[in-house]
Parts: sequence; C-alpha cells; structure tokens
Amino acid sequence: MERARLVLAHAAVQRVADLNRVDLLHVKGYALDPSLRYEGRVGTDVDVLVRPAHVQRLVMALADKGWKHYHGFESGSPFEHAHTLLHETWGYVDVHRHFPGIMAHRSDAFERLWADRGVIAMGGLTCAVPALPAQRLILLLHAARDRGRGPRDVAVAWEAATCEEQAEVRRLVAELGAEVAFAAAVGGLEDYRDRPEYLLWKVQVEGGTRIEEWRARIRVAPTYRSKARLVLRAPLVNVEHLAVVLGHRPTRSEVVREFFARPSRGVREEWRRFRRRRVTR
Amino acid sequence: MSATGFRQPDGVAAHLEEEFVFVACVPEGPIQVLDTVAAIIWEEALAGDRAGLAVRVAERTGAEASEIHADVEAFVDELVSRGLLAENL
Repeated sequence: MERARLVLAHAAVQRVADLNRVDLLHVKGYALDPSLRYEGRVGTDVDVLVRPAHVQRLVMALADKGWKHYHGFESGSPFEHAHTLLHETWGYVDVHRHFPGIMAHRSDAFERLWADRGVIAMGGLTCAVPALPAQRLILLLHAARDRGRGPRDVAVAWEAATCEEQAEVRRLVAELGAEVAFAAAVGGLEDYRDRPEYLLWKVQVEGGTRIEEWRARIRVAPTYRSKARLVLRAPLVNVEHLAVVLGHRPTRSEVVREFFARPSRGVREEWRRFRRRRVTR
Repeated sequence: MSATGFRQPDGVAAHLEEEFVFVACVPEGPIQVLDTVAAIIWEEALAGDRAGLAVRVAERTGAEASEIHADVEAFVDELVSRGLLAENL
C-alpha cells in the first residue's frame, strides 16, 4: 500500500508539473532504476529536481493543489537545496532546486541532466528521470550524507558497477563539479582539503557540532554577501524545525527559550568534542 | 487500450500491485482501491472493447458471462461517472 501511495504521489506531482509546464526529473525512491534498488530499500517521499527557473512556479502550483509548506529551502538542510511540502494524501515532496554536491551552475547542471533524461511510467503518467549514470551519481552523492543507508547504496551504485559504468560516472562528476561530494561517498575526501565545500562534506561524513556545521556553511557560501547572511542567520531559531520537534507552531516563549538554548547547546557540543580530543591524545 | 473500449483519462493515475489496482484522480485524490474482481474489470476494460468485456472478465473469474454482464456494465459505468475511466466513443 505504501509503495502504491508513493508511486501515485509521483504521478500527482507530475500532473501538477504538466499542467504548469514545469520541467522536472524524478530522482531516488521509486523513480530509481531497478538495477539500483535492493530488497528493503523503500522510498518515503517524492524527490524531484526542478529546472531552476521553474521552481517557484511548481511550489506555488503545489500549494494551490493542497500541499502545505513544511520546510523552506533555507531551513531544511545545510545545503539549502530543497523545499519540502506535505499533502494529506500524497505525503512529502522535496522540491530540489539543486542537488547537494553538484557545484556546477544550477541551470547548467539541470540542463546537462535533462539533455540525457529517460522516461518511466509512474501510475500511467510519463515521468522524466535522469539517465542511468546520473542516477548512479545522485544516489552516491546522497549516500555521502546518509550514514544509515549510504554504505549499502554505495555498494550497489559504485562497487557493483562495471569499469565502464564507473567511467561514465566519473565523466559526469567532472562535468558537474561534483568531485568533493563524490569523494565523500566513495573515498578520497582528504584530496580536496583546499576546496570550499570540503569542510561541509567532512561534517556530513564524520559528524560534527552545530558550530562546525555553520562554520562549514559559511565557508562554502559563494559571496561575501551570502556569507554575511549566513552569519546573521546562524544564531536565529529555525522556527519551522522547532515546530516539527514540538509538534505544534511554537509559541513566542518557546521560540525565546530555544533562542537561548541553541548557543549553549552548541557550546556544550564543542566542549564535549574538545574533551574527547584531549582524552584521546 | 482499445479503440472502442476504455482508456485511463488524463489526470488519472493507476498502479497495479498484486491483485489490487490503486487509482486516483491526480492531484486531487483520494486513492481508491479496487480489489479482486473490481481490479480484473479495470484491467480488462483497458485491454479490449466494451462488447467483449463481460466475456473477458468471465474467463478470468470462472463466472458465466451472461450472469455477470449487467454487474460488469454497471461497474464500468460507475468508474466512468467518477472520472476514473473514459470511454472511447
């Protein structure tokens, strides 16, 4: 039943896209090529990578058809890559404006993936999906920040791939500027210590404190203006996230309490890490 | 799909899994579940012409076509009225 709901959810999102002339690629989950799936790998939501110029149109169209805002781009993840919406029948959809790890210009990257797209039927509707090498790469980039399912995905998408299939992925990695995240997934991350995004991926792979994560986000921000915006935003409470944790829209006093709790939590995490380092020396 | 039978309309999604058909108008929903005989009628409605529908369903269910003809016709009319099937006229 859950599989059926998700397949139809893909179809529902595709229908909204079709009616609004939105280009999108269905990625991961039940849109994955069967060769990249394995027993027990179940999807939980719909992930779509949208032509950047069409993102806002899709988000508004989904909202118009009953999807509710859940997480905005800036509050969802350190990569600020997806807007999450929730529908009472179709569940969650992650509208990606880019895919974490791909550093090429967003429009160029989408165009590259779109040019090689394939199609599958989901619920009888025609849905565009990335070509198989791109699916393999997207799964690997995601595996780098998924410590639960990641190793199994790497085994299927990379270790079980033929030399030719691996070469196709490596060509795509170079074209999309995805070297650092790719290395975070398959090994060799330390070769990229000089890249701005290195620290962010290191935190993803090894874990890190809130302060380390924010430091990494600031380092990868492309302009001084965006760095400043991050610095200003870092101490603020993520109200949307807090609402999810509390199970209700936080009251003003809950937001205030969280405002003061976050920095002290961050300091406590740093202190614990500092002590661990001292003990292990 | 048959020229004189039925088709899945634009804006309807359907997914077959085991003996069930999950079907919905998208994006509105809700999901409707057709099981056993209902699922067979759905599949056969899309597979051939309307005139032979009861016979095809009978072949798969072991029933007599003459006995189920009226019920099958009523059921596909119901699916059409709900917008889940469209008839090729």
